[in-house]
Amino acid sequence: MFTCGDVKERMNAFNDKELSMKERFMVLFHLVICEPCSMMIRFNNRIKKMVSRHSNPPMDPKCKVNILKRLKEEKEGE
Amino acid sequence: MSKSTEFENLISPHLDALYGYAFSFTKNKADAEDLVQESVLRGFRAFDSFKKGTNIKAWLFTIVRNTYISHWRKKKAHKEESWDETYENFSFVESAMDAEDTQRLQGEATDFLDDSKLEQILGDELVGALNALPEEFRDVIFLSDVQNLSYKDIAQILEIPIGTVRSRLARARGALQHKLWDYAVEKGIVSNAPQNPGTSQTPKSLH
Repeated sequence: MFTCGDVKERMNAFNDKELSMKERFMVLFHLVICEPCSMMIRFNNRIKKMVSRHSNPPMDPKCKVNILKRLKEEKEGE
Repeated sequence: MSKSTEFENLISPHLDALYGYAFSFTKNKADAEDLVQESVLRGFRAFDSFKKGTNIKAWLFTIVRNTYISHWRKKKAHKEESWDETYENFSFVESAMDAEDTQRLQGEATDFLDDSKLEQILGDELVGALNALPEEFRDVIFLSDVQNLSYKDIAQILEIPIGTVRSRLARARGALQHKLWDYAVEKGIVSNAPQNPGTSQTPKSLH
């Protein structure tokens, strides 16, 4: 059985889906019986998703056009 | 299919991601657009060195990063806050549970952590906290959390071992949560500072 320390050590890898199947199950088994660890994992996961939503500004479509246009010029110059 | 058409087809689906990565360095739209454009042209010139069947996204990200380092970073004097190593392993939830008035705080903290308004409260602060991180730590967070790249791909882009990716992520996320904790305390969202920030490995509230 994993302890809280074991789970904390693997928390990032768990949320990033970088654990082996076996370790992932071991963490999941611990989370079933441990509310504080479960809360910690949920919180970390929410922060991860918030970072994703707040740090990904969309590219201006005009900029895409300009880049592809510039690329075309480069190709023609070859 | 010509080389140029193949290149265009390969990069087109990743332009938004490249822009996001460039923006994480430059912090403004105009510079991010210029950086992407310069990187795409560099990529095209170096396309012969791309190994077919490997990860084009990781390859392009490496070019954006190297272009930024070689040409742009010199121009930008980005001010970063001082970095405290003790932030490593800091956990917002643990701190809430370790606070002195545990019984009262656990109720508040639980409400707060499960509150759907968490994003509304911390969203802007999160961006500020992220931007204040040293570049190497911001980089791993962006590649992992925003681009959902594997540790292996991140290691390839940053040219560091996977173990370093893991430790940088742990330190960066700890620092991020420490900043959010400070903000939550300042705003009265949680009412007590942790006893020993970052030093607790297994809090007393955990078994």
